[in-house]
Amino acid sequence: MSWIEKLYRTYEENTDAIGTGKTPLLPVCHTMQNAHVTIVLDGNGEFIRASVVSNKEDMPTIIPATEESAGRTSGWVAHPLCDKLAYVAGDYVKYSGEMDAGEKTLREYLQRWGNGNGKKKPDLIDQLKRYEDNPNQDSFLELLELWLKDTSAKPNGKEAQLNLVRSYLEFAGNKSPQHALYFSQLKQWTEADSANSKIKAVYDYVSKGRMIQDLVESKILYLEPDGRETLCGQWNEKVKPDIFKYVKVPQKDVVVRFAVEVPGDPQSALWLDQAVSNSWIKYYSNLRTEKGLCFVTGDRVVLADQHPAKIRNSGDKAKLISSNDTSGFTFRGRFTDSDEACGVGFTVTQKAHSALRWLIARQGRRDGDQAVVAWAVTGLDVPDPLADTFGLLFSGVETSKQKTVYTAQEVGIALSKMSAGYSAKLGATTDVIVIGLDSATPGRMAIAFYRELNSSEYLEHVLAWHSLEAGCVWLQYYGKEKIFVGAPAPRDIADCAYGRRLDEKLRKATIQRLLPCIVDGVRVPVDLVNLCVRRASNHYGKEYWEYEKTLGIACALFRHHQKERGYKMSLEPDRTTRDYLYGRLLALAENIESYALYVGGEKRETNAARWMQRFADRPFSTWRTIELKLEPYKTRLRRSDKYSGFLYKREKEMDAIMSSFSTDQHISDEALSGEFLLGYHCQRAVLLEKYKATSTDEIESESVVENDEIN
Amino acid sequence: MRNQLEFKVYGKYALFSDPLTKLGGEKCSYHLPTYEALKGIAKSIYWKPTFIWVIDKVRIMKPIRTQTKNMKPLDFGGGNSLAIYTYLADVEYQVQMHFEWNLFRPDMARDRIDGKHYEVAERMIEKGGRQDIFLGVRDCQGYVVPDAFGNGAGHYDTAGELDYGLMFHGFDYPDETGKTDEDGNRSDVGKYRLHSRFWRPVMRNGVLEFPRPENCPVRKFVREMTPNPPKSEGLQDFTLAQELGSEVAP
Repeated sequence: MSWIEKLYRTYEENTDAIGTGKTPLLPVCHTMQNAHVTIVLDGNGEFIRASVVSNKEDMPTIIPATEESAGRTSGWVAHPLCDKLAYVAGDYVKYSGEMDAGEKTLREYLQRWGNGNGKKKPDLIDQLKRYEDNPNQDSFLELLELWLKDTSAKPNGKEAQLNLVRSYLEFAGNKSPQHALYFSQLKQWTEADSANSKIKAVYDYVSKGRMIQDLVESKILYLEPDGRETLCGQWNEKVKPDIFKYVKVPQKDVVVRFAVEVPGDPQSALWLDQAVSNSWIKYYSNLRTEKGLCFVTGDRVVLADQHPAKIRNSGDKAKLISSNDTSGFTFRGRFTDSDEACGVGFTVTQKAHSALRWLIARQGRRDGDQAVVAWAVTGLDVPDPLADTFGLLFSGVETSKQKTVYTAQEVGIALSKMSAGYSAKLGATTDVIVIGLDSATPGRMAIAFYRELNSSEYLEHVLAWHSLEAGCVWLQYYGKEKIFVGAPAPRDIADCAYGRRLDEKLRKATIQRLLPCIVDGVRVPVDLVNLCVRRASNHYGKEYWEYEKTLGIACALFRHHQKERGYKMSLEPDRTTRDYLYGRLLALAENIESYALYVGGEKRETNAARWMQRFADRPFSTWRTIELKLEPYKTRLRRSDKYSGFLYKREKEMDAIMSSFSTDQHISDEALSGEFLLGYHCQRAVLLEKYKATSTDEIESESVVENDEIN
Repeated sequence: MRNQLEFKVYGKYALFSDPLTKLGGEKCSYHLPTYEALKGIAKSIYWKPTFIWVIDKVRIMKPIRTQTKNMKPLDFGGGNSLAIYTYLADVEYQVQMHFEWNLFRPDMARDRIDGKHYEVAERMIEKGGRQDIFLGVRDCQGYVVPDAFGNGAGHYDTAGELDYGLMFHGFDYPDETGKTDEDGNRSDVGKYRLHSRFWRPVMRNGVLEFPRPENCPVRKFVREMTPNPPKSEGLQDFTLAQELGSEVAP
């Protein structure tokens, strides 16, 4: 299963797309974050000015991140460079309004915690002892950092957290614990890469510890109007300053990004600066030196501890590779440790997951938890396997030029154009990969579908699905604005098959069952076909458009399932199979009756439509009833001079069909297969066309009508 | 000495777990069978500690089709968790294999009889195996029938060459490899270690040729493991001889 290797290769082939586009391909060790405030510094770390990021499109910023900070959910983990005010601002505690707290000191809290839970953490106990032997700020800070990194040790409840902050202040000199983490991380990076002056400028500025003060003075952030030195929570006046107008998070949670203006360097924004990105990547990759076997490339490289999340969207906590199950059945037994079971190289996993994220955002299809994406390794687009023909061919057309009705001919031409275009672009040997992801629990994701194909094979299968001769194609009626001859989307097939019973899980499962039919050319599962046929045999409970859509999809599915019989989309007068003829009969009966009702000014549902389901189960006996019920309507039409010609024509057709039956076929009361829907639909289409012709011409003479019939 | 045997194994589902995704609990199957899984099938058919099965080739007869199932695997602390497993549906493989004496079991030396194991294995293939056959995981039941390798038409007979990435080959258990050094090479002065082996399969016209375990390109050291198989000398057991006196044949 080389999905991860293919994703890695996709990343390598598309490195020029890094950083471009709405959801860009991220470089290694970086993540996306919405930034709200830009602080501009000079080369020496002096504050020049700041601004609020007012343009919503400009807010997503690519920032450096560690493995833990990219996957942070709760707990205090700092990003290396740009982060929330609580992390980057040295004077956050002063302005955050969290000063009012209880009495407990941090030392007491830690000691009490150490005596209770700390037995399981020997290094914390050691550090605590070291602190008690030699209580100074450094050992305390180390103890605090160790303790903070351990997420299970966080105090619960706001009260406890406030106490913590206050106590920390007394010992650590007015810096918030998050800031301590951020600061030490930044310090180590700056010291490791002393060549980059811009990072040093940021470090110098941050160590001054007056970020919020500067921001307040430059009227970016605002304090409470009543004079307290606290960041304002809610702005109550009408005219809002920028920070409240454009930024939707409270002032405390504002994310800051930096720009350093150095004379002679045109690119001052650090988040767009390649040198800064590369410096971070180099520093972080060299932090760990222990190498192990990578299961993807087979080389000995630095392995990843954690694998990235946020694959399907930025709030997604599910991981494809997760290795934290130290108390379950996943790998324990033969292996004692997750490193023994599996290891993936650090860069490999970062690149592969970045590529997957980018592809899903760019060209994937999401349906709740399920995500399906098809791509060619060289990064080019491939036809979407889950689209209906309309979406595939005409969704890119401008709405002014888009038509509401697309005939078979137009669709055929568009399909061949598309196929030629893609074959030229992709060539015959490019790999096309289709991957489907799904998750049962919020933390883990599984590969539900994976297929690697040649591009020519993929195009062949997708086009076979949409092809007019043998694909899952029929006249589809999606609404007045969307009538086309083509294949339905799997989502619509699921809707058609299950109707109101459909819930998310069932829809996902159905789409997954249909994916191999499109991508691999496997026959559609017969139970889905039968479900659709059954639902299309029942007018009851469906509105007009819903019924028409169901009918179109059912016909398409049945036709595709029985493609050896070679059904055409137009009426086949030579086809004398029992089911087909019965379908035609039903259409005729419905037509006569509805015309009679129209003439009489009544707006009832025809008997034929009402008894369609019963007709499908017991055609012969139901037909007898329908025919008997048809008599009064026929009489109505026969009596009038205007419409008797129409009736005569219809009766002649019915006789023709009846004689095409062989006797034993006709008498048999066996249930009809979906074929009758095809007959019904084709005959109805022909009759309605004629109906339009006859209603406008008012049947002047039979000869005219006869000519019409021949046509 | 004749030692090559062939059989066909087929089943409704198969799951040759990919170690990458198995860690998280969401098992996903490789598209091709692993050497270790086939060796396990061979061992289920017939095995004695005297010999080691070596799989030579496997032929994939039916098109590779995956199917996902939502499962409720057991949780260690009781109860169930939810997971999605991706199986291979409707599989059929023709396997060619042979056995070699396990030279690291000197206590079995008297059992290395020419023809004995071959004939028993042949009979066992006809019977469908001594123990239950399973394709990768225990819940994928399989069935074994005797079949000549190359018989019949397979789906990939004209497919040409198909490359797959790095795939798991099998485990190097110390009772079959003896002492090894850190990299997995046989060495008399090393320790007993467990290694896992990987290779890069290439399917040529539906046939997958496995390299010998020693020739696998990538090997990973897992941990140290001491082989401790139950030792026996069969009918020549000392205590048995004592009890039965002279009735035991030498």
